[in-house]
Parts: sequence; structure tokens; C-alpha cells
Amino acid sequence: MTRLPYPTLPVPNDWDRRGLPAWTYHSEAMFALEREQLFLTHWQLAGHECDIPAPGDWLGFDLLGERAVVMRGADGVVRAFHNLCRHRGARVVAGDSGHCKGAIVCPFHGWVYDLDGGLRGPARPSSFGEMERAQFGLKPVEMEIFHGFIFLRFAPGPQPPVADLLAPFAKDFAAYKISDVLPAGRTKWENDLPVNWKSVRDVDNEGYHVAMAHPGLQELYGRTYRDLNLANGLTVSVGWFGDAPGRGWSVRHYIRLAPDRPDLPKHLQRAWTYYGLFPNTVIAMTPEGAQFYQDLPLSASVTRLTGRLYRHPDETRQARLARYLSYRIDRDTSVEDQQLSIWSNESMKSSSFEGFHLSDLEYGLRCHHDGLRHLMPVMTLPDAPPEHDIARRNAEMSQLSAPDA
Amino acid sequence: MHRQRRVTPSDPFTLLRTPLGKAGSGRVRYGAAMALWRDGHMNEAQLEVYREASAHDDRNPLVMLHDRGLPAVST
Repeated sequence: MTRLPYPTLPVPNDWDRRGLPAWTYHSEAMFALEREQLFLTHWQLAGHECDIPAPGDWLGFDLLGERAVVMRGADGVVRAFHNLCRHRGARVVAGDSGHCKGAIVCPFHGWVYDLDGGLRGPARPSSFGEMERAQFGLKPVEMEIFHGFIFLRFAPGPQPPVADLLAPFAKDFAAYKISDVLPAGRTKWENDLPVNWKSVRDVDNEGYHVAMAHPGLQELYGRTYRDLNLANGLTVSVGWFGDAPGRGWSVRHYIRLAPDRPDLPKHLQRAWTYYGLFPNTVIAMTPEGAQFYQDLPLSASVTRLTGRLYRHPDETRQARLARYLSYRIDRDTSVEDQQLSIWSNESMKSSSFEGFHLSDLEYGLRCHHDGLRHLMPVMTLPDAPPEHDIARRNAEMSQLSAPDA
Repeated sequence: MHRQRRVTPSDPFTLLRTPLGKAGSGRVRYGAAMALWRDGHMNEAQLEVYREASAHDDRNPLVMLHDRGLPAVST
């Protein structure tokens, strides 16, 4: 078995195999808590530096009422701001991405900002009397760049700086030269699914279902696939292909065409690797490409699946073909996973649902759920408190479980 | 001795002359006008013309300035 260079948590001999209670997947009050205690306080992935190569290029990132714009300034520096004009809060840019030539012009009244976020001037400036422009720049959003990936956080949270948090991945990312990737065609995709975001994670966080539900992936790497759990909510999953020629069209041709990468360390050669970051982000690598995908909750019952695709510079025609074939395999896998997420989510509405009974091969779900329980201990309650009382109960339980309680 | 101003593509004077008709050019010219107002090369009345014109990429601010008896900014 291939040795893997990650500080992995072992699966215990005896562990609580239950999942989260069903009510946590449908409660509006629980969702409001997740917004405040989880999503806005944990690192989110907005894109890669290569998505905004030129001064004035920008990416938008919306999450649960917060809006960020990541902008490359005239000086070439990438910065992140709240996408709110300091006049009356309008979006200064609209859409997923774009380009501001020379300045950011708010479309509402015409306040103008420099590309570094400083206020250049308000429209009809004399109508504001004395105004200290320096106090009205676009408000920064906490941002870190790690091997080119742009991470944002809307409020301070318990995770360490990204460079520290993702340190276990650093050598692999360097080996893949992730910093140097380029956008792959129309890079962003998104799809809204009528499920709670946790149902999406519950499917993606384990490979136990691959043999049954993903014939393409199973054929590609099912026999070698492994899920590993690390500290701080990190996961690594890896499957090595090429031990068998493959029969399905995409898999068969992909195995034949996937580029050899002798430059990669042994454990990354002929491998599909997935690097997971709590609570909702995965960076995935293949020999010929890279991508990230994430589950952005829109409501307690709707989740936006989204991600971006990348290629390596100096991509050969063969690698491009392989990348297309891996996209085909992924496309089928995604459709299959979406159906599983729907079935998993809807099952919890049944009076007969008694919760999960997890396999050792699904220990990743336990780790993910434990991360949520730690932040929001009300999730440990088997029965739902009244909706109006969930926040109070959670605060009470958090206080009781605090170190100096 | 007259010192030549170093002109770059991102110079506000250059951006003020962004050709008409190009998508988004109205706002580019207005953004540049705001820089020139900030730096004292344009007054507020002239700036307002560029703001009004910014909604129309093919509307010539110079014509509007002339119509209102305002001077063009020397570039």
C-alpha cells in the first residue's frame, strides 16, 4: 500500500456511529446559527489568482447576505472588499466576475473608487459638505492567498491562518505547482440543489458509496481509493488509476491518455487527490488539471454547488484531451452525487428515519459532524428544541462546554 | 522649462479620451474625470457632465460641455 505523507487520524476501535439528528437538516433556526457561527467565520474559497490576471479584474463572492469583491489593483496587488458602496450599500460591481478599467464606479449614484478600494470621490462632491474621503473607502474583507487560491473570511473565526491550517497540503500543492495554474475555458459552474448543505457533504465525505453509485469512478480508481481524516477539519482522499485498463468509454480513454507526471512525488502519480477543508470546500487535483468545488448554502433547504476549473500552463493536446475526459467522468459523478444528496436529505423527513449507522469507511462524516457539534452543541440534542429557543439553547450549551465553565 | 507629463494607458488624461461607443467607456471616462477632479484639473460642473454622459457609451461629453458653456479639460 502506498505510504501517504499526511498526519492522519486513525479510525477508533469503538466510536459513536450515529450521524447528526434529522432536525438539524431542516430547521430554519439551526440554519441561522450555521450562518453566524460557521459559514461567515470560516475560510471560504473565492477563486484563484489566475482568475484575475490583470489590474481591474475582479471576482465576486456572495455568501448568506454578505458580498465580497476580490480585485486586482492598479499596483497588481489582490485585495478583497465588501461589495458595498459606502454611500448607501449598493453593489459596486455586479456578477461573478468582470473588469473595471481604471476605477470602480458605483452604478447607483456614481461614487468612484480606486482599484485599491480607496474613495476617489463621491458624485456631486459639494453636496456632502466637508468630507474626509479617506474614511469612506471600500471596507476590507479578511483574505489570504495560499498557492494562488484566494480564501476569504467575513468574520473572525476559530480557524488559524490559511497557511497554517493547510500546511499539511503545502508540499503536495507545491509539487502540483498549483500557484501556476490557469483558468480552463469557462471556468465557473454552479447548480442549485433542493437539499440542506449537510446532505451534500454527507455524500461527498465518504467513498463507501463509490462502488455502488459511481460506476465510472469505481472503474477508474475504486479498488485503491482511500479517505483520510486529519486534524483541524482537513481531509485527504486519493484514488490511483491504471491498475486496470477500464471498459467505459471515458475511463478507458482517460487511462490511456492521462499524462505521466514523473515530476510528481510517487504518491501523487496517476492519482486523483481531493483536499477537503472544513466545512464545505474541496480542492481536487488530477495529473492534468485542478479544480475546487464547494457547497454554498442558500437556505436550510437549498444549496448551491459551485466550483472552478483550471489547467496547467503549456498544456499538451494529449493533456487537454485527458482533462476533457476527466471532466466527463466528473460530470457523471456529480449527477449521481446530486441524486444521492436528494435521497439522503428527503429521508430525514420520514417519521421512520432513525438516523445514520456509519461504517468505519464513513468515519469522515463523524469527523465533519463532530466539527459542527463542537461549534454548535445544540446539534447534539436528539430532539429539536422549539425553533424560537434553538439559539438560546445553543448559547447555554456553549457556555457550559466552554473550558472554564 | 516645460516638463512633459508621463502618459500611461492608465493615466486619467488618457482614460478621459477613451473612444466613444466601446462598452463601458462612459464609466471609464467618468472614473477618469473623478481622478482629475480630485487632483484639481476639473471642476464639479465638468465632472457632473461626465457623470451624466457615463450612462451612454456613445454620448460625447465634449459636446455636452460645449452645450453648457463649459470648457473641455486640457489633456
